[in-house]
Amino acid sequence: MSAAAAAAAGRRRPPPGPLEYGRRAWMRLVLLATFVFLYAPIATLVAFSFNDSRRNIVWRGFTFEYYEKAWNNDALIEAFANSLTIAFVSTLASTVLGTLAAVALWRFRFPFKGPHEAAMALPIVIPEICMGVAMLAFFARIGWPTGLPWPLNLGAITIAHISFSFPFVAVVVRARLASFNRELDEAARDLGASEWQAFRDVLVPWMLPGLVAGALLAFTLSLDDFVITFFTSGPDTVTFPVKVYSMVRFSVTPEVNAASTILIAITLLVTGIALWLQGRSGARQPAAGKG
Amino acid sequence: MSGAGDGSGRGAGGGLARPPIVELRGVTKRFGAGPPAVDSVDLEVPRGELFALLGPSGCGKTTLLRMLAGFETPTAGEIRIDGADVAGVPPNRRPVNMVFQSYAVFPHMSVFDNVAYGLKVTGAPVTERRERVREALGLVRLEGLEARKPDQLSGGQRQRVALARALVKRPRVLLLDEPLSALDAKLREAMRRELVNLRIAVGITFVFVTHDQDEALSMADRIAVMERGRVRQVADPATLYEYPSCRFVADFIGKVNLFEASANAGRDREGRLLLEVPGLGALRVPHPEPVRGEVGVAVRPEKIRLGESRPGAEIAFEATVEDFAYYGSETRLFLVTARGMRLAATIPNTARGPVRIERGARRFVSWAPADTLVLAE
Repeated sequence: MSAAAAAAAGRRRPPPGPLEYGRRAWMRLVLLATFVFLYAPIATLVAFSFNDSRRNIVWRGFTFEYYEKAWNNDALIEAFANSLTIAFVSTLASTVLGTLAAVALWRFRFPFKGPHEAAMALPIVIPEICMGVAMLAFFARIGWPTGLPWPLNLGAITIAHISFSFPFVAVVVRARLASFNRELDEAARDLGASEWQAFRDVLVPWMLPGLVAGALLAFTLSLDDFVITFFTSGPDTVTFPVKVYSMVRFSVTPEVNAASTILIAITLLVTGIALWLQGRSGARQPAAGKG
Repeated sequence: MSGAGDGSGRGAGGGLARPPIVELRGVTKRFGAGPPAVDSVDLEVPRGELFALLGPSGCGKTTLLRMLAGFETPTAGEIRIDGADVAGVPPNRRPVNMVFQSYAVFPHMSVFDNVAYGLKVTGAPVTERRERVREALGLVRLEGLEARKPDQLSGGQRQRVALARALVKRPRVLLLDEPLSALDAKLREAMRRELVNLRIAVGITFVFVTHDQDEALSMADRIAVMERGRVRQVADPATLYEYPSCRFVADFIGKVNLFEASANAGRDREGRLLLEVPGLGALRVPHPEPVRGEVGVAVRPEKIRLGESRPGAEIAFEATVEDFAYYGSETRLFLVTARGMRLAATIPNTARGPVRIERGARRFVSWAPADTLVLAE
């Protein structure tokens, strides 16, 4: 009798502790609501890309038809290729520029450093529409050539993308640098490294997580930018978001859903690769110590 | 390692024919306006010494060390390392290496790669690198941990990595910036002995910076005491403690009872100096050096003896025990004389048993005249 009571008491879990939020019903509810709010639209988009219907309202059965259609839509594929090319080039350029800016601001003291730093962060806060108009006016004023062969015709958009995404890289890398122990750099110099060797062997490895995060940010910003791109693109330089917008003006077909789903998949893939690369570089180094 | 016999016992000083390994002549460093961080310092460190730069924080000792390493440029003066002027020589070309206060072990490299780094950047062949790293890790007793990452090491092990990484370069001088300050008390004590033994094993001159007087006294062959950018005294630990040159050194090294006195009364027939100490009275002290005017008079607490009756020839006063503190190995007493002068005395607890002292007790306080420090500065 008493043994059975003890067993029953043992089975009953103790009340949740002050920090065990996961065991409180209201907390789980908030969590669930958050996930629904964040992901339900995306889930719907993905689901309806497989809908066998011309309209995105009722479910009529499963099909890959619209993926095929999207694949055969040359204009859409071209826009997609344009977007990826621009994103790739602007990510590369803005990562290098942003990193150099961050290192310069972190490392050196120079006149007007404060205003310089503020001016560099301006593209982050300026409304996109203003930057778009400014870019349009700028390229028109200097007479930027149009009608160049691919991929040179993407130059204007790429430059616009670099100019708004490199400050994001700089901010992320700068934050990482703030926690850098300057004695590490001095130690490398003390052990015989030149300034360049110390930068390459000590500072860059330290910045790496910031570099990867900044590059990913730049890539995503470039890939899905609409407003600034809209102002700097011409009739023969349509990017994916601009193309989707023009398609949606007629009707929201599952074809648009299919194309968007592919974009989401690519974004997830790139992020996954980046995370994997980071994990691998961390795991590889102890083994290298033996040789 | 490279230690070819030039550094053995305490204060050996190496070959007299060769110039000192480190020479500073009138070295001054200013950061912007205000008093200089280092103010016309002259120093010589003989080969094979374990030399300490000791002083309170902000006294310029770390700046001095960083000028030796090449991270700061002197505003004026000359620094010679192994006879060569190092002005304009960048840190990566100086024959010195440094162990940083934070150890600065590269977090993304294994222990092996950390120690090998200094050989790798200067292009040493792989086989030589492996051999020298093995040797250096043996010196600091870190064999078998080559593949570990710094975050898998304890604080003491990280410090050994930093030591091995510097020693593997076979520097002419090893610079250590507060080498033991980040370790816990027990480990610190053990590392003191280990650093001393390591220096004897490698025969390299060590220059270390510390604010901890116990560390400097127990490790160094010689100590330079610094105050506000200036070197106040350079001496071996015993001289520094027993014969401080000024009030600052007497007060900074160990504990001391310090009084202001006047030395205008001249000497008695036996040549002893007559000192008038307000609150204590007249003292007769053997002190052959000529002094006049206002001086500091000091006595170390452990030189003071306590008795129930007035002793003979010694300097003696009657005093009341105001308070005392028990420290296990010793008991510290805080006394006040009949004329209101405060004194601290340390009594070693040489035998087992309860403390036989109480507040308000009256005792005779005495010390040998020869134990009285007369400080002109």
